[in-house]
Amino acid sequence: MSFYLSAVLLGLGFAALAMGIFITMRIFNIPDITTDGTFTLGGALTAVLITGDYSPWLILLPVFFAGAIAGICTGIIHTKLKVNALLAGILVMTALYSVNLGIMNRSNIPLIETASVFDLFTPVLGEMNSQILMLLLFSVILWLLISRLLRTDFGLAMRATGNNEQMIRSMGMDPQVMKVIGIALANGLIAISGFLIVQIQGFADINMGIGIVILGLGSVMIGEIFMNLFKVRSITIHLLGVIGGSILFRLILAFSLTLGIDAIYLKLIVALFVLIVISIPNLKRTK
Amino acid sequence: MIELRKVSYAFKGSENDETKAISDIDLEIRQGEFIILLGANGSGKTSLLNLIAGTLEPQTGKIMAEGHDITKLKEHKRCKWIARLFQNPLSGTAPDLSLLENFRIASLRTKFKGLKIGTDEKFRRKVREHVSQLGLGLEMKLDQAVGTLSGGQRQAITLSMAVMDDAKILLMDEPTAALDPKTSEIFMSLTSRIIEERKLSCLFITHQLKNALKYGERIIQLERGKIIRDIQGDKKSKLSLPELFMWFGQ
Repeated sequence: MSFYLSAVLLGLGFAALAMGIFITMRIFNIPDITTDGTFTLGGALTAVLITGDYSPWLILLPVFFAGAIAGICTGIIHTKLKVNALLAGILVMTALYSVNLGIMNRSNIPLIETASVFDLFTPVLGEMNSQILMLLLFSVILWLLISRLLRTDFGLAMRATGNNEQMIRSMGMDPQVMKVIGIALANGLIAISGFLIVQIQGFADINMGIGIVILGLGSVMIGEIFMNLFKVRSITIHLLGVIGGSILFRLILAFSLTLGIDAIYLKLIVALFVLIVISIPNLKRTK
Repeated sequence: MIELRKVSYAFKGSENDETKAISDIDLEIRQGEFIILLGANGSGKTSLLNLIAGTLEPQTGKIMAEGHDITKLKEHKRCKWIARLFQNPLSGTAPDLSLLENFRIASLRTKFKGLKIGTDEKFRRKVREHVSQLGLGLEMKLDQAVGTLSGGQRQAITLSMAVMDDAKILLMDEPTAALDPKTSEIFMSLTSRIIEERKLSCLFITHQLKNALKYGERIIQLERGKIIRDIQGDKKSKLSLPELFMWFGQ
């Protein structure tokens, strides 16, 4: 049981990442690979600062902004230098690998007996329950914040930018600026996901971000299957579906491991699984 | 209102005079004037609209709006004066957003889009009333994604959105080209009614000569980037279909 519980907890930890991917992929139609680098960036900063005895609460915002700055780099390379979005992301991701190594100074930092944001309710609820509660709180607060943002006037303009750039230009907004802000926001969220995951698993690793963009994409897609099933149009519920997708994805991976599949093949399974989820709607269409 | 002074534009790689898209055009568009823009393919009609809207920047000449020099002003900064409709009925709206949300963005066309949730009950009532004036029953579909509506409906919504805020001039590039004859007729009478009610100026590109005769008080014909005919008032209303047809025949 605790095996599946830890899968759920990881799912909640990755929920911020999934929401970030939702913003770049679904709202702006940009496949943003910066993700692999910003996730590690968030994790690396968290590990270094926590082992340096900074309060984990104090570093939350700096971690978010570090991710956002990486996003701004990708956004500016894409919009101002007119580099293909995919390539812009790969460039920043590659550069971030060195930045992350520079921050960590080694390839792995264990967090043993260090403070964590999950400790807040430990005296009252015990370690496990406090962690569950804190992860739930993080997910719910981020969910409420992001879904509210997307319903504001600014959020509407953001959503319209991904939909129809021509329209947004004739509505007096600069789609390039909107894109940079969107990619920055997404990568800030992704860094927060790195922040949480490092504290859940108790270490930061230079390779923790490899292929993570697919994980977020898979979560968004799983969420969408349900949204289409129930014909949901509300952006708030849609985002909730993305969080649900993140948890479900983790559960499916945990389940496949219990089937006796070697952990070495985990990424292969992830890739195959996402491929299936992505292609189902396309197969239906061609019929 | 909007004034073009000796405006020229040539596409890159075609610097000689022969291939200028727009060549030394002087044009004054007065407040409340409904102008029909005629011309064969490649005569520079769309380029002219793009220059006024700011999609293109002229190589020479000046463009003024209400006394302001807007020649160098970027497209999204000109929308204080200018609203636009395109040939493609889908290009004026965001398909995944609801009707209400599209109108919300349109209502803030010249304003800052901030962190307020503006799609409240008050705004809903305002949009419902505004949309019901179209007479298409769309006020019942405010929460529907715009992408689920027909091209004609979407073009009517775009028009309605364009006049939600107080733009001074409407630039319309064959907005009825993708609509069926009936929808097109409904759309045209809607357009002329809205222009009249709101005292808007309008620059309207069309290839349908019937519409060119029926609507507007001034008619301009472009050829090779120059204005070769500019007829207004009584003379415009006395024009006939064969006469217009002849303009293209020579």
